Amino acid sequence: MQSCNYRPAATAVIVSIETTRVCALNPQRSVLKPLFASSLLLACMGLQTFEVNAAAEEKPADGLQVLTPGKLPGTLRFRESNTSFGLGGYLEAHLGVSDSPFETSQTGSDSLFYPQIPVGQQASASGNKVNLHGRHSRLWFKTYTPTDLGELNLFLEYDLSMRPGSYAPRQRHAYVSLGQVLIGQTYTTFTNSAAQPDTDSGLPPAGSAKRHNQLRWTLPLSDPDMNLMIAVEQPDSRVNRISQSDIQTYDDDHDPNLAVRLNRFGRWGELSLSAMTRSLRWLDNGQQLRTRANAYGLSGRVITTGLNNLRFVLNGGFGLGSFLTSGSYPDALYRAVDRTLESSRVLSAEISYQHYWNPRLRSNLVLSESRVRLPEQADARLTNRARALQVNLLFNPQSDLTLGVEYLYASRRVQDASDGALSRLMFTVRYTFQTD
Amino acid sequence: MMGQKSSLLLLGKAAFCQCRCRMGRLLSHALAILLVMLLSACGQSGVAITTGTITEGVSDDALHGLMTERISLLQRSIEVLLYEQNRTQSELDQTRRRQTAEIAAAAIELRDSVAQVAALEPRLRLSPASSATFISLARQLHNDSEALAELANGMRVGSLEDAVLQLQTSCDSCHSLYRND
Repeated sequence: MQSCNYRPAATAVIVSIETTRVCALNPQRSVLKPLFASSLLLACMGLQTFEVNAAAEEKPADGLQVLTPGKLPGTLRFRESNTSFGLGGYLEAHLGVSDSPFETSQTGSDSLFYPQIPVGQQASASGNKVNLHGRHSRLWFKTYTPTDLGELNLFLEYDLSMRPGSYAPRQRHAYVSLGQVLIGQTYTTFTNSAAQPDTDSGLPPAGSAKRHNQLRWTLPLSDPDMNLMIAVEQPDSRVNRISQSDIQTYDDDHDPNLAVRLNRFGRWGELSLSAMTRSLRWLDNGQQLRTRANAYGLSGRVITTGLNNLRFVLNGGFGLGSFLTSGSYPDALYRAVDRTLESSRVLSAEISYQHYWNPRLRSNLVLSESRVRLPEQADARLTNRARALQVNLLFNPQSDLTLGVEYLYASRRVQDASDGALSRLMFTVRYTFQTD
Repeated sequence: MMGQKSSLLLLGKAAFCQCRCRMGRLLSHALAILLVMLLSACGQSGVAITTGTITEGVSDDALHGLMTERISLLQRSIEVLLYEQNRTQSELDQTRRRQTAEIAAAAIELRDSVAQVAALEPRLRLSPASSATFISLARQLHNDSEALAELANGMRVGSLEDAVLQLQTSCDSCHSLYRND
């Protein structure tokens, strides 16, 4: 019998492997590799353990169900089941050398975190900081089931970036979709993730990777190359009280964010036009203040020649502050003198070019800037501009292994016009795995 | 003329001063890198197709060559989706679905174009042995493109590379015998 067997249990998953015949599903790529890699990651998270039982051939496979290739790439399914499932992710090691003396407990020590880029006198305190970590490693699980109501999909993804200096798992995505309806946590509908650049050192200041709980409806249009997404999303007003430096989150919002995105696909690439409206709120001495904020975005990925492509993001409008630059900007400002809440105006632009030197070697060049307009009375320590330049070289000696080197230069300017910059050189090793 | 020269000098001086700042230098380096990338892209074949010279009277332009290139590029595009970090698996599956559908459509079109190629055979004035080879290769191309369409329709992404290679081998075998590719 040429098959592989799988049985989940409460605390351990026993993978029975019938020696080399396990590879019968796909002779080139064994399922053992991704399961082994994911077991390492899960063990690291402390969630589950995997046990590989290579001697299983001697034991009968009673009660174990037989797996066959699933209905989507990278998935498997039980022979009697209609549900395909896939497990994957990557193990990643980063070695970063920064010219700023971050402490290991600071988010900015291993990620591009704009609020911690040193400015003013802090910026003059130079000193190289070396940081080696694997906190960007990820693990995902997905299922796919065709039903009479449409496709039923589930997707869960975790990384290890909950807290700086810790390897606690953090939920990135957790959603279910049935047909045209999606419910759960994923990227805000305002963002087109296809337009984000292929970088290892973090998202540039114009891009948003904010993930929200949401209810999204994807409406197909008469043109099969177009669709319209409409979503209601979890609100969270982030407000700065003028003359104070901190940005507080108001967690008693009543109205959800409403986001729409029109997508157009073609041989040339893809293009998205998005809009969002938010009701920002603030409570002052029992009096609730609110203001409406609207923002717009244009983003896309255009194929130039072969696999080479140009990606761009343009965002503008009000109440977009917390979506950009790791939350450096407020969504709105509260003025206690006249008890007014005013949304902040943000403008951001990003352009990146991805070039394939050959099918195994590629580079990305990214330029990005975002600005927020703050009133003159705003605290001197508030960031009002961020910029970044990223350039990298990524090599794939084999399809599941990426070796990368990337240079990052990021800067920010605060309200009192002082500024600071961060230079970082990063080396990355990433091993990607998935069921196949 | 002198006025133009002096304004150019002024512009150059201003640009030089601007480049003295750190960000300016970095930007100029970035632009230089971008220029190298773009120039390199100009030298790549990408989707540009060379049709070659027709020798034995096959005057029909090699439409299937264009489609084979397109299929090959789409297959590589699907492969590199593995490196995407910012898209969810559902988004990637949708992209794979669109691209495999496009491969399937191109493969069907390619299969249908084989009949036109085979119809040229009487005009080629080939020897009986050569004629049999020509027809056999046309049939091979028909079967390969049909097999590729079936794999693409079933989203068997892992098997596409071999199928595309097989298709290219069939194309190359025919072109090496009947064209100056």
